[in-house]
Amino acid sequence: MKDLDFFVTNFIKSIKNHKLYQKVSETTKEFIGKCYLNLKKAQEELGPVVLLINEDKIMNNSNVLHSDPKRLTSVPLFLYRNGIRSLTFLEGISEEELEALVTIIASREYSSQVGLLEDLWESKFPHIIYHAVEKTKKLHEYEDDIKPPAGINSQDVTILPVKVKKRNPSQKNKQEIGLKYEQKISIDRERASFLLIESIKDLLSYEINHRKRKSIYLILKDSIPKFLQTGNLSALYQTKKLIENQKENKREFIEILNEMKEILTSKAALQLYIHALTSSNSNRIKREAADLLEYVGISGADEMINELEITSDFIAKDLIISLLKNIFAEHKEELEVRLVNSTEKTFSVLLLIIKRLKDPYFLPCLKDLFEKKNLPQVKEVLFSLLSRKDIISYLNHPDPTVRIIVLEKLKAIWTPEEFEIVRNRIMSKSFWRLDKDEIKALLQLLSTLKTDDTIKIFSTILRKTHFFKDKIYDIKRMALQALPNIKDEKAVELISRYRNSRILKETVAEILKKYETN
Amino acid sequence: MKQTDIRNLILYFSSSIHIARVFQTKSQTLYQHAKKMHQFLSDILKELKQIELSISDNHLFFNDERASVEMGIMGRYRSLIHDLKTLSIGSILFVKLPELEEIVSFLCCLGMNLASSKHSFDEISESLKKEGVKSIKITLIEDSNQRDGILRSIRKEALSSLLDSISYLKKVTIEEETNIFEARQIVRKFTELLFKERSYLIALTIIKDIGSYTFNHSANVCILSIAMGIELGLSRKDLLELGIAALFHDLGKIDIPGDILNKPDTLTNIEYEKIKQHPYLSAERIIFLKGVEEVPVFALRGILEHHIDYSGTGYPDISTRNPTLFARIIRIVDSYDAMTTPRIYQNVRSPFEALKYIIKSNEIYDPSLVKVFLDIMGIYPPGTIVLLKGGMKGVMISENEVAVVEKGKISKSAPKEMTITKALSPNEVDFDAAAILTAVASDKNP
Repeated sequence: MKDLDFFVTNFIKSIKNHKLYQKVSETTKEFIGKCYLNLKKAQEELGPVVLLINEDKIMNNSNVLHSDPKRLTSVPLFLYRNGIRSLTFLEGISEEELEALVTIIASREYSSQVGLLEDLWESKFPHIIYHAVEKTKKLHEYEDDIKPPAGINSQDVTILPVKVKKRNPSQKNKQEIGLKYEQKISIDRERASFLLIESIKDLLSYEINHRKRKSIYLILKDSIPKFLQTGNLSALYQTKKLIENQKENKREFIEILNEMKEILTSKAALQLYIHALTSSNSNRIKREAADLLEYVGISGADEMINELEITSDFIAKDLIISLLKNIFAEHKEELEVRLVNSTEKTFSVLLLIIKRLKDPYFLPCLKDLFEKKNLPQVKEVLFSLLSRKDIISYLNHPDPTVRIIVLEKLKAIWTPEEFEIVRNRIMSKSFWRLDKDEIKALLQLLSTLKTDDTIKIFSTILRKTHFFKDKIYDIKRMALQALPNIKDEKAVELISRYRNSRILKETVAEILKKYETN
Repeated sequence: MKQTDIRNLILYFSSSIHIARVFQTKSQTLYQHAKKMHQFLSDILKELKQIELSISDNHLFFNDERASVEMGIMGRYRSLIHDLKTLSIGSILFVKLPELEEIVSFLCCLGMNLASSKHSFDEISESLKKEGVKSIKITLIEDSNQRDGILRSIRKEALSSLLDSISYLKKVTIEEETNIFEARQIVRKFTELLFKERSYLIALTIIKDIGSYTFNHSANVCILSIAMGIELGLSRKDLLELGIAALFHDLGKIDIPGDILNKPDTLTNIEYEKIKQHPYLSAERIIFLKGVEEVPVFALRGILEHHIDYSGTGYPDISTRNPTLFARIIRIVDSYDAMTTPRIYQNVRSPFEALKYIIKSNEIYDPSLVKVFLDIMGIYPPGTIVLLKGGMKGVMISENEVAVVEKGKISKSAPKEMTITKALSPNEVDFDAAAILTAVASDKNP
């Protein structure tokens, strides 16, 4: 009897504790654990444990195990109001089953008089039997309300068994249908949020009544936190699309739509989107997350920049950079501030975004960083933004690495106008004293412009003799390697002339072979 | 016999049946309970030669001694009597101490039979023989009145539930403060009754004139949809949502003027546009109900799509044109009930004719679901008026029972079993099938 007493005490405690924390907390688990042990011991002594539910008591036979005056938080009163008159706990019950029962009871509001029976009915506990009363009207009570059809004397009726050929579908056929639909249903359940949003969209397309329209919006608004809680990214994405497509003029609706946007762009939402973008294996989810992040906009930029440092997912990285590019395109000044004040880690990311933006807005800032602080990473980005005229002015920069970048940039944009500058530079005496990389860049650049003079310049280089043979031959090799870019027979002819050169013949053979293959 | 022995036997016997019904196999838990039963039987049979547990009226008797039970197990006591009566078992005799395996087989057999919608005493007897249960004998309830009484009480419950649903629907349209819980209660009741006595509840859908057409039709569609859901093996949660969808599917029609709904002539375009709004109006009815914590999405979708054909045509013009399962179920059942109801603008079809039309319309109805619907309704759906061999007429009240109607008196000379010749249309008889079905559930019926 003592165990039974303890069981009920811990059962009540478990319910109240669960209600308090709104979940199965550690303490609740502890109570349920104790409750379960007491129940097992009580069952060893009594077999199935039957609890009778009264308005203010829980009893076993006539023994009162728990008493609580009729007040709102009374568990027996709550069970009683829901129609439950007894609970039987059978042997073989598991702790999980008991926990599920506690959860069901605790999840309902004390004031609720309905719903608990449905939950118990749906749960179909194997080791817990509940006895409940439900009010159903007697037939005669319908007289004032609706009458069932009458007019036949019951004495005129006799019931007899009949032989009927029954359609008996083959078991296999039946199983196939059953299986087919079972699968569809399980798929459907996953689609619940999708269908909800689709339905709301449909109802909004139809409903013009102000009050009803507002209620429909509120249903969607109330659903967003649930989507967030369950990490239902697709539903959030769909909601965002729905919000964007709604054209409302009335202030009240615009306010609701804004409130929804606020939830969709909250901090919690942002974290979910970033997590989905970097962790999901599905490209669709990644795309949806990226779209939602763009929706969050500038307020999520810092989190995204930080994520770029952490994530190793190449696709995610690329998506985030594209996103940031789109976001900062609308907030250039924000990007500039961030770049100037950035840490070493974020600097390169921000530079990359500026490079992709290709916006001259950033030139003054970049020039400043480049000139004053001489930050090497800035060079490439800076030149990608400069105009042709500006780029050429940098050809005389004292730093050879700057000049090399300029030459690289020129490749794509130069015209015969700049050819003279390049030609003069190659034909000058100082050319031979330049750094090998710069020489190579100059020769490569030269080879991209096909003019009558181009071959002549190359021919001059190849004929050159000099005291420092090693360097000269290196330069000649570079010239030979650049020549095929001209894509002209004269260029091939010029290369072939050095076929028998003792020093250059191997390079020539290699270049010709490659040329023929291509 | 000691009171404690009786108490324990009732407690373990009823609990074991519950477990067998839930698991429907010889589970570990069932063995655990059976072992206890075995122990009690062994103790009792040390003193007594045999134990007979029998039912009379609403009481249990142990070896002709009426069991007096304490309040604590009253629920279990009643449940045991109810289960045995449902299975038409009048008594259980333990001629000697059964083997443990025999007890397990016996309990499993009872549990499985209770879990199915057909409760056949003959099937139980046959199964017990097959399983080699020799030490436990069962007998049929002797008092046929009692057996009929159970059936009648279920049927009365079915009729009350149907009326409950109609008065609820009426309330929904009048009062703003109606809640969804009552709807759930109705659907739950229908579901339980369909598990217990499917045929009669289906037969009740032949009643078409309680309250307004829309209410009666909604209740009928609800019953038939749940029956289909059960046949498809849907979970209780799904059945609940399906039932709610079906119950509310046409309720939006209440907001459409009656002169449009009941117009005998062809509708104008404007009028037809109004009719096409009813899925929206019905869908709104469930989402604005009091107590809807979580929108029953599948019910909502089922209502919105219930006029979208299997091929994707139909109305209203909504975003997705592939109707969900609930919508496809309601599409069939809705049409069936509408076709079999006399309306000003259409000729009534017999259930047989309506089924024929549904089978032929592959574009409109999901053919796989049509098969399931046919399995439920059979050749002569419950509620069908039939002509019997020998010229008598009657109404099908279940798959294998017919209520024979004769002028004036009960046919005392009626044979034990009847053969159906053909189905008749309501115009060919001078009685109302609905009234017969109501009378079957009435107290005055013999």
